[in-house]
Amino acid sequence: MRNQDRYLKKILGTYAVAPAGEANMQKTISAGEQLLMQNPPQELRWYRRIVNQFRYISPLLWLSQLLAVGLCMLLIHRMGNDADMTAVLSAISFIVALLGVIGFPEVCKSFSCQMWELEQSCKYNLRQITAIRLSIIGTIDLIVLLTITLFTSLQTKLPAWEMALYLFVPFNLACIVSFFAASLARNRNSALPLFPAGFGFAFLMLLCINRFSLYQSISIPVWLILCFGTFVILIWKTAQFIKGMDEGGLTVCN
Amino acid sequence: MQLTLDRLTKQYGDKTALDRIDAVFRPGIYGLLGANGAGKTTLMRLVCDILKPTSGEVAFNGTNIRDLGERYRSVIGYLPQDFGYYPNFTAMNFLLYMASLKGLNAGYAKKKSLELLETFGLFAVKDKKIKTFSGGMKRRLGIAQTLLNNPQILILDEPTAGLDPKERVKFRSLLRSFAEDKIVILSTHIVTDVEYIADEILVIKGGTLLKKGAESTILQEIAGKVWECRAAGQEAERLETRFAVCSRKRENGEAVLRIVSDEKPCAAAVSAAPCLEDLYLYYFQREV
Repeated sequence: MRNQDRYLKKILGTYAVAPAGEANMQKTISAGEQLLMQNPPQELRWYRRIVNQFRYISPLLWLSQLLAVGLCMLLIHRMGNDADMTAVLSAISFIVALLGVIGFPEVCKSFSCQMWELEQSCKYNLRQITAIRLSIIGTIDLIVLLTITLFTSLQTKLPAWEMALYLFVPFNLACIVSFFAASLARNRNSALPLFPAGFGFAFLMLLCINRFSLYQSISIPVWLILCFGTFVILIWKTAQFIKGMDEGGLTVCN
Repeated sequence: MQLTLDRLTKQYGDKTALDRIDAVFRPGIYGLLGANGAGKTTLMRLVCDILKPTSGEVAFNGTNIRDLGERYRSVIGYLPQDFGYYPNFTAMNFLLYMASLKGLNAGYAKKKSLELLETFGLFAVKDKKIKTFSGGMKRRLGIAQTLLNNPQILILDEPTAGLDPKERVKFRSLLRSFAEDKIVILSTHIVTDVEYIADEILVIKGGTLLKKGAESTILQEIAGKVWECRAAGQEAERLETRFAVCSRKRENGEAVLRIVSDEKPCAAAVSAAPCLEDLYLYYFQREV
């Protein structure tokens, strides 16, 4: 291709062209502009599509994430002041579980705002949009979760991988519950079931950790199995959710 | 350019929404006529690649649109019946968002959005939130977004719903100017819109395509079946209960009825030239 360019430039260089008049140049430019307006190029690179979706995610979501991180940091700080470690850890787990829930209304907003049909008819359709939204929100959640894990581990002197087990399990479970609620929300064109389901689950988690001292009563291998199992289910639910976007219209029409 | 529907069928469980529809669309304006639940919206969703057909196919220039995927969706513009929007978006933001989903670069999107806002009389409110718009303004914004990518195929589901008569006239002339060399498929309950702008009309009933053709051709079907008659009091009421009455007005103390019927409704009835409303009533009188 480069050789061809060089060859063409060489050939073209041998031609002498009389300089065009200003009027002619303007005419050519406006004709070109008109042609471009009639046949707009329709191709955006992946990073541009991600940036576009990022711009349209509600700032409220980022604010609530920030709030969650702030609360966790406050709790981690309190751990050093002879506070009950199990109670603080369960509170952090509760906040982490909520982190998994708060992104879902944003993921489902195409349905709750009746935009799914319009988005599905676009070049980058609902499936791609949802996949991008999930990737953005998921990546931010992961960074937040890893940060919280690291700080908690430093404060509790527990290995980071063990702390990750304690935090990822409630997060994954909350996401799985939210995916089920999201399917319900999609069918009803409403994000209403999301919050009661997610919050309810996270609260139940908080109660169970405290009531049954889950950190002590469940052994590390079981936490490992739980973490792995929930990851597998979460990945499966995510894939199902994105795949289901092609049938998004169907579920609403039925 | 050609869009072909080949034995297109769509079922939702046991219910058949569309049953083996065959049609060929070439550049021009096509109007879909049918009562609620006739299958118009399902047909449009299938043509827009929003739904998968149960059987049959939609082909664009000979290739199944499911195989074309993105390449097909980049040449269409669609206005759904239930036009949704993100309530916190401004009109300008909404168009820029839609442009990004259509794969248009930011520079072009901005220029085109401003141009369309101007065309549809929304320039002054471009920075206002959509949730503050009237129904007509939302509809105009919906139509504007269909034109962002200069589509070759334009599919409009009830585009004139919510528009006032002046806006409808403007929309019709705009569509006419735009439709050159393009396939435009529109459905509407406002029969006069179809009458004024459609080159061909498709009549859909119970998921099947009853008729397809130019207005004059399909009106042949009811030639000699449209009647006008004058009747007074009880006689007028009797006619109204027995026949499909298109219109009723009062003149000199008598009712002047326009009736669509295979048989002459009364001795005084005279045959009248059929129009599209008569045809609609003829096919859908049970559903009206």
